[in-house]
Amino acid sequence: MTTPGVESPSPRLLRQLTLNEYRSTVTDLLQITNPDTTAIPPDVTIAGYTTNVTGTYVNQTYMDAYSSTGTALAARAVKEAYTTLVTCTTQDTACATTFVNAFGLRAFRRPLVADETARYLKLFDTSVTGGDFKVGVGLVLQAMLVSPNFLFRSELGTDGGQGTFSLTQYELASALSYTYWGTMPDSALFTAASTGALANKTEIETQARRLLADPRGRARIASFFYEWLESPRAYIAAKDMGTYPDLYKGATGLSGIVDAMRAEEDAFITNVVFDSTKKFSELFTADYTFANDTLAGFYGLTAPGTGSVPAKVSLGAGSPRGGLLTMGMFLLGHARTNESSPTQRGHMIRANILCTDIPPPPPNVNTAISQGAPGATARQQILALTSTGICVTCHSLQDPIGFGLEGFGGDAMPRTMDNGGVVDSSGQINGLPGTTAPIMFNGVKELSTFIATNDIARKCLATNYYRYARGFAPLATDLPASDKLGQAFVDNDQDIPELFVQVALQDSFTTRRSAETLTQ
Amino acid sequence: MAAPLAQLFRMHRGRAAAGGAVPKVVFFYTPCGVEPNLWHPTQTGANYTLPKLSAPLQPFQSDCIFMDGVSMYPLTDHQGGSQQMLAGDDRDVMTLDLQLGKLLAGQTPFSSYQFGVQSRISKGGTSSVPHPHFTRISLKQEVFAQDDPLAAFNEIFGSSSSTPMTAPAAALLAAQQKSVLDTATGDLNSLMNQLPGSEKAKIQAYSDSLRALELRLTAPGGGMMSADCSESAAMFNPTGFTVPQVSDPNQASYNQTNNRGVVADLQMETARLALACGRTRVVTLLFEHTNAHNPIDGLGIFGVHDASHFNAPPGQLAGQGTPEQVDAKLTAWENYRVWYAQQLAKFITMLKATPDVTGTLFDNTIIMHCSELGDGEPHKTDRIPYIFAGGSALGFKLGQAINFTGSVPTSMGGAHDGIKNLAHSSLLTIVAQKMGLPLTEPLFGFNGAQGLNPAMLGIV
Repeated sequence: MTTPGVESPSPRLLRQLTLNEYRSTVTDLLQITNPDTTAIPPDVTIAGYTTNVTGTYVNQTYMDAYSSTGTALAARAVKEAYTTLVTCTTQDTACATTFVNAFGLRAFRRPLVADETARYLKLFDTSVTGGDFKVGVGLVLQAMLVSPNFLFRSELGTDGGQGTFSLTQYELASALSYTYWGTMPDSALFTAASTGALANKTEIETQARRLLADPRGRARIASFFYEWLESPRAYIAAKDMGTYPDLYKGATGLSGIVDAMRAEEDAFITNVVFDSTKKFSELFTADYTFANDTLAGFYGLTAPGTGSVPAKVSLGAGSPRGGLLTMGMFLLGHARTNESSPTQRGHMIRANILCTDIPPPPPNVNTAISQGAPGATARQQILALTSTGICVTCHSLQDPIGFGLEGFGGDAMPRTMDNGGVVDSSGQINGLPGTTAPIMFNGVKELSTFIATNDIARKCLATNYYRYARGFAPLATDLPASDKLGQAFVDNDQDIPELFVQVALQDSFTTRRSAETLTQ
Repeated sequence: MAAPLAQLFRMHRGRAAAGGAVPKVVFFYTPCGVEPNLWHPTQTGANYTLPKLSAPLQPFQSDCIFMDGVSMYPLTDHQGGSQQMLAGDDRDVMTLDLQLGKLLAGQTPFSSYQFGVQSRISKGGTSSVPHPHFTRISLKQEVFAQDDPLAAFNEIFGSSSSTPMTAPAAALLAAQQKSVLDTATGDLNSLMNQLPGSEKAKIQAYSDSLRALELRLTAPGGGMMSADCSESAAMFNPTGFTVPQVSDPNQASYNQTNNRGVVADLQMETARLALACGRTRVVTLLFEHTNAHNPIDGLGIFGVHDASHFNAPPGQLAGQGTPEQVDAKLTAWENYRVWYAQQLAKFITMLKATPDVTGTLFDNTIIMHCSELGDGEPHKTDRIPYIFAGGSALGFKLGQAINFTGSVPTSMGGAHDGIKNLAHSSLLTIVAQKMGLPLTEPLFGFNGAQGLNPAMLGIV
């Protein structure tokens, strides 16, 4: 591998809270449970990531939703958490000032400046409160919840001259809490910011490790993997009941199975990353999984007897399963209604796990050009469709990888026959950088073994985490930072949590440049 | 971002004459094209018979203009078609509904409103989330429709409609809302000063949205409704449809297959009320999206998009299904298309029954039925199922079928280089002009509207 170039400061950004971040933040900020945020539109994902800053804008739909949701949540908070939020009882200007400054610090994730305090104190004017102090409190909550200072977290920094900016202590506290928890800073982070402790990288590291070890850190990392593997596809994958009756047999039907598969993936990943070897290779080669009773029943494993809670289950020697590529979320999500999809599966592995950019199919592609003979396997049909003409250039990068997973149907279950033909799960990886001949393999376990120790794949995890954590696809200027992260992960054979910590210890985590416009 | 379209328009609001009914527009989208031969009438002129898929509109033959031979250029597919549908071509411009809203901003509480019937549904939220860009500020800034019919109603009419407020209470509420927004504006202004250029577009979108919210609250009639409208609004949601809270919006009641009908009814009713009560003059109503994957309850088991590719096996877009599979998917697809035509017929009926300042709401409202494709099965943007309905007071010559195939007006260069039909941008231009936006540039599209004399097309 080549040595990465010189790391540059990152772009100055405003980062709109994602829907999940908004939910977690209002929960922590207002001290209420289960906030109703259904009015807010779903996040716009860019290359699978909800955290990408170029995806979402506060257009009218969002503004209406933030306004109506904020108003309702403010009313709830005044009713349910008033004494937590307002610690003084005098109901005078002094008390209002104390409240505005204390709540403002948490809502804007930094202390208010004098102008801001004055602006919010106007909401206690009797012309708008009708003389009711609590109404003023409610209006402050409402106003702060639609303020850009709340809806966007700032990574703008302060000008250090020569086009370089540094994040403030409070911006750093937020960067840490949203990176590792997806919510606002806790009191320890606020304290660290207020004392200037985050100027010291040792303190940043201490905080990063603390946050990551917390249950919220585990959940955030599971979310990263969920988006990296494009696992939400399992939820939109309609499945033909005639072809896959077993998916519908359980009491909770298909959605119950998919929920169980998600629980499997989350539990497996957090186990590998936090509790087991913490190594990349185990993600692909583990000889166990986590299944709840529903999933164990579906997979044909012995039920652990834990109800809906997934428990560690040994797969046993000779099992066709083992590792992420053999899990339900992957196999079922990246497949068609009544068939596997070597193209989808191969694309996913090539693009997201091996980091090869594959352009989308050309517009107006004629999807009905030809078809395999009746009774042909999926592999034969795909080859008939894509092995000639302009299609072959891209499809040769992905389909032959996906062929290796043909031992599993579109229902994520092992199979030896497909549409009357014998399954052929030999595959190959063509044109991988640094190779001169295709990498041949037979079946998903051999493919997984290859990926488990492949440097491109390991580095690709780092690249993806960088994108997720930092909120943008690196421009040329940012590539050295992203490359450096991956290089260290590979060269030092780092544990996965170490990769996650290292992102915050890069100089570019705390420094910013006046940036060109980012692209999607 | 492209230059705002408004710069290319000459501001012109003369048609909203004082005392008369003002022009209004509804963009009525149904997904995935049609089978053109089963949709477009074979005859032209006043006497035409509608084939199977558009047959539910036969009773409204004299209220519609059916148009065959309209294409979307550059020729494209689902995604391109949805992006171009209200933008005219593939350039990165603001869509017509938002442009009209921008021009009319301040005249009604909502400059425009986008209603959806399961238009945002996607379970999970990956790249499979639909981003059709039907309505957009730019290709980077999509505006999503409101799919929750109760939320749409509450946003437009205020949740207090069922409990009338005293005047002082309403005044206090208005003052509070204004103070909250003024405070946010103050925060915005402070923040603006420290932003790098790259983040300006992001905060500009926030700023525009905040301003729109403020305009809504301060517009004439923004806080209170007339007695007639209050009365109609009080009868909203007769079946008592509810939207229980769920953590994943895709699991919401309004996104369930079996609720599509009631959601469509509620959204059409709110759209009707919004137009009738002066809450907005520009409505976009989206039935699903390009990759609609729910079936229509009782009419078939295949997702709408899946069914539209009826030659392929179930769940697939390519390949050849067995004769039984093709028959099953085709039957579903034709059932679905008939259902959409029924919805349009229902909406026409509703507007015809609603009085306006002069005439009926239907007389003063242009309904433009559109889709992102013409022939859905092979993904062609020729023979798109455009219909104009209503708008007779604006000069629309209703009660005829026109076929533009092969008859590109010479003013548009005539037929050449594969341009053999009328560009859909011409239709958007007519709507723009009738809503008071005469073009000074060939804006809406490919070979589109330069020098367009609408009279030549026989539509108005």
